[in-house]
Amino acid sequence: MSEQAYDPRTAPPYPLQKTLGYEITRWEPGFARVEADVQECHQNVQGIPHGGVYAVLMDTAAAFCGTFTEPGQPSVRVMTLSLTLNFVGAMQGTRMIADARRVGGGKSVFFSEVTLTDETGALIATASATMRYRKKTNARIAGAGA
Amino acid sequence: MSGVRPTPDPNGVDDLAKYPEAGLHETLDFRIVERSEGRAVGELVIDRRHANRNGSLHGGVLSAMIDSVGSCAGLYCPYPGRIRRCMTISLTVNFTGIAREGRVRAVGTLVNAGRSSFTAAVEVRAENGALAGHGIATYRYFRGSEKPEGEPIAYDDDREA
Repeated sequence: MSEQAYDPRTAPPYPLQKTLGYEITRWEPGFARVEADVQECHQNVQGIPHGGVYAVLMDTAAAFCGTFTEPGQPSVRVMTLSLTLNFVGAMQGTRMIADARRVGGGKSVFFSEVTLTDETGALIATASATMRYRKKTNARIAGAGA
Repeated sequence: MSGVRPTPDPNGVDDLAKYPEAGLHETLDFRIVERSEGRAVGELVIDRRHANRNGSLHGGVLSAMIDSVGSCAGLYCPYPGRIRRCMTISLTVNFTGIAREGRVRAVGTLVNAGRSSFTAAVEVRAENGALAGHGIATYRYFRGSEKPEGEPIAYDDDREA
C-alpha cells in the first residue's frame, strides 16, 4: 500500500493542527520546525500558554524530524512512545518555535531532541522523545542522520 | 494572627464552579470533573478536533490532559472563593495505546507534596478501560498557593491577550 507524497509544510492541516493553528515550517532530513502564534485558545487560567500546547508543538516536531522523504516518495508515519518535557523558562514573545533534531535510532525506533523558543530567542522548554515508525513505512527513511 | 482567617467548606468540597474551563480546556472541550484531596479526574470525548494524521487522539492532547489533571491533583483547595495555582516544571508521558473514539478519562494522584513543589501521576484510559497513556509530572506552587488555603480568586479580566 503506497501513499501519495506528503509534505507537511504544504499539506492541508490535519484536524488538531487546525484546532490549535500551528504550522510545520521546516522539514528536512533529521530536522523539523513547528511554529504557532500564541492565541487565546492556547491559554490556561493564568492567561499564558498551557503546558499542553508546548507539548503538542514539541511532540509534532519530534515526529516530523524523523519522517523526511524526497518528493515523490511514499510518506512515512510515526507514533510517539514517550515524551519528556522540561519547562525551563517563561515566554518573552508571542511566537512559539519548536525545533526538533533526530539524534539516533534505527529502522523501527528513533529519538528526538526538541527545544521550544520564542522569536526573541528565549528558551521556554526542552524535550526528549522516543518515536516509533508505523509498520509498512519503516524501511524508507531518508536522511536518518546519526 | 491577623485578618480574617479563611474557613474551609464543612464537607471539604472543592467546588468545581470556582474553576472556569477557559482557554485550551475550552478549545479541546476538556473538563475537570473531580477535585478532591490528592486526586483529580478529567474527561474528554474524542472528536475530529483532537485527531492526528492517523485519525486517532493526538499525543499532544493526551499530554495536555496529563499536565492539567496532574496539576489539579495537587491543588485541592476546599475554601470557597479561594484557589491554588502552580506551574509545570517537568512532564513525562508514556504512550501505551491508541484511542480513537469515545470518552477518555484521566485520573491523577498526588505522589508527593513538598513545601514548594509536588509530583503527581496520571493514567489516561479509554472508555473500555484500555490504558492510552500515563505520565508523571512535577509542579511548583505559586507563592501563596503552598497551603490548602491558597489565595483569593482574582480572575484577571484585564489579562493580556
